[in-house]
Amino acid sequence: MKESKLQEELFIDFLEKNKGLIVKVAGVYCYDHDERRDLIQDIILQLWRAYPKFDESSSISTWTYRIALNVSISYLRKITTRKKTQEVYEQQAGFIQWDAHFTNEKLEQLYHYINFLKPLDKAIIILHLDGVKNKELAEILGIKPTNVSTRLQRIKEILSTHLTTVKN
Amino acid sequence: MEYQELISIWNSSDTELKTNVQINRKLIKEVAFKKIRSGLFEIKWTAFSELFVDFFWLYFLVGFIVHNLWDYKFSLQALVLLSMAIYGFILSIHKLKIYFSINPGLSVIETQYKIERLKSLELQSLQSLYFIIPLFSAPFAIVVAKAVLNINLYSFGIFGKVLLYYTFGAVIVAVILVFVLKKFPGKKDSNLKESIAFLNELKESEEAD
Repeated sequence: MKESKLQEELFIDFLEKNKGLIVKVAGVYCYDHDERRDLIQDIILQLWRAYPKFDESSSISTWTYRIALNVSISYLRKITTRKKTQEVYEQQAGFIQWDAHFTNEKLEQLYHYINFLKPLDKAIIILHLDGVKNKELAEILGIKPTNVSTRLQRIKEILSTHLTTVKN
Repeated sequence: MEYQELISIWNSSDTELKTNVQINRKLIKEVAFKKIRSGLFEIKWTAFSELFVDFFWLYFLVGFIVHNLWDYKFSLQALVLLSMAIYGFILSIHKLKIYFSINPGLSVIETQYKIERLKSLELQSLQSLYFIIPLFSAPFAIVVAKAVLNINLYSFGIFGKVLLYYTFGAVIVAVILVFVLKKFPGKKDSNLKESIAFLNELKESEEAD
């Protein structure tokens, strides 16, 4: 019993450290505020489910990215989440609360254009913008570093074109 | 716009997120620690139930075939059902094998590939019911009536003939159903197409290596 309480406390501390990462990933995959809250809750549920099995063979951020990206990419969650978190909706509250309106207009535009990318390309750009090295990025996604470089180049071009058009 | 600018725009949200995002500890304790289910929970239990039912169904059919081996009117119908049951049994084992191989240590592409494979298998088996039901209902009725009630449905004169015609007619109905489903796909079919398209995208990502 004590062990499980300790694990709950450790998990909440872990969430406190990684809340930004979770909100960012969810923001990229769900542009709509309600859907994003729904996705964040599903990510947290799956993180908690996997937390006792974390074996430190990879870094905690790599592990968190993997789970957050997997939950976000899989559209299975659309079917299952609403049932699971029904009680949460009834209480009109979420596991994480935040002000969804960005104060930075450019950041909002960036999220908007990332939203047009394919699911795997979204994952690549999030990880890259967060400063994850190509080798680790390739490990998280399961592709070769050379493939990462090629895809990144293409994504950068797409985003730069969109944002330059807006700027002009 | 320079790429470096994109990075600084992206990172500008970090400070904002640290102060702006609040964790609802109370709600997490109340809900998250109690209500944990995998998104694939339903698929897992469906596969387990199918495996359980298929096991007894296989046992029953093998017994029936052994008892009626030389009475082809019955043994052939049972063999048709047996082939479907073996297919269902293998499919359930395959689904469970994929399910239990999914873990957080896998890469995103590997995990997504497995999830989509599971999802498409589930949708395919659901769709296959459209032709399995008309195609196998007559053999099912003949075998079950003989085994459970010891009634020979062929002996009912015109009804016996009707059953035979029904068996052949069911093949035609199944072909028509498949044609109609292909011509006018419903929501489930579009989900299946979406799933297969994503599987292909994942395969392309692997092949690009």
